[in-house]
Amino acid sequence: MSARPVWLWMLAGLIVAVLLLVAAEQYRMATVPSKPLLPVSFEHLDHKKTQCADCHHNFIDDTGGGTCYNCHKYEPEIAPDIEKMFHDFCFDCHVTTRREGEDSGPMRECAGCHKT
Amino acid sequence: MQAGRQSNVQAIKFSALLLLCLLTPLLLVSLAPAPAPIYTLWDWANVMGYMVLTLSLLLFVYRGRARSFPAFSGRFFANLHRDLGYIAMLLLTGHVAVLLWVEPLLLEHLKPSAPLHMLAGLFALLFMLMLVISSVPFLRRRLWPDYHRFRSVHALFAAVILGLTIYHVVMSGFYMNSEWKLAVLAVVGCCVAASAIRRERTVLLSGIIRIRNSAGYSHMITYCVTLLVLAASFFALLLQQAE
Repeated sequence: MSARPVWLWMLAGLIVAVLLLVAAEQYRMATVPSKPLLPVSFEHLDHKKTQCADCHHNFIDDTGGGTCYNCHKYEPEIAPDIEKMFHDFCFDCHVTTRREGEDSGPMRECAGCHKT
Repeated sequence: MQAGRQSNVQAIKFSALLLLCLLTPLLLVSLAPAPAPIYTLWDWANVMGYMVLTLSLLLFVYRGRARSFPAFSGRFFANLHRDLGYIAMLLLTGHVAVLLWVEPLLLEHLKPSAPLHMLAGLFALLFMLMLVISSVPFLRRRLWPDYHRFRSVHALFAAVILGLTIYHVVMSGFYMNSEWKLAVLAVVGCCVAASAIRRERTVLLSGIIRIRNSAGYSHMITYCVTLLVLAASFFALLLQQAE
């Protein structure tokens, strides 16, 4: 019996990688909503140049009320993405500010925002 | 005398090629839109991560069998594959260790609730550990007495690692932050896949003969070039930080 070509095993490897990610995502979606968040230090005074509605979008688009966590932490549909969403949101703004040559907030250093 | 000179020429040419392969991705990701520098050690840890990606791709090209370039003996290519694999493992360990050292909160990204692209990186590390350990000749002969079975499992694990690594790099989005960078990665990935599928070109150009007893060049070239890239990138990041 001839051995299967190596590329078939490589293809199988890629399928294994995809299955692994799908399984991890399922598990993650089940665990993230119940996981406590790291404490975040956010100073409104440091963000005076930013329009309120840039962050508090529910003031104008009527998508919810109360604190950010009311939806982003406790709505099952969007809760699993809370970390990526908030990180991207802060990061994009800080990158833009830094590219414009102005002082910006933390870029990627965790302890810059998460003061434990 | 002639053989010695030919060996040195081949070694220099291959070192230059390896240097180019390792440096090009680092230069490409630093082009516009340039990622914002954080601090030297953080960025240096990510340099190690990018070198792992490059080496993972190179390992599919130099798969342990003789190729047309360099004109070294077959044993050189077996050594080369092993050395590049060990270096990738060391760099991956360094990537994780340095990041955890400068930013202990990143431990959160090693938990099951971490973002998927970080879990992909963690899985890639675990698979690479299994791959490297199970490939140590002493263990390999016990685990897989049949070489073909070993080769199949090795290829499967390697593809899992490459897939997870690319997902980790792309979805992290720190450096792969534009469409043209993603396009370059896709083209390189397709070229490597094509190279992995087709049979190696082992025929040398006319007039060139394989240099015997050249296996030892592998260690010298791979480790020296890696150290050179690590040192150069560290000083480049220091200079960037100073500006």
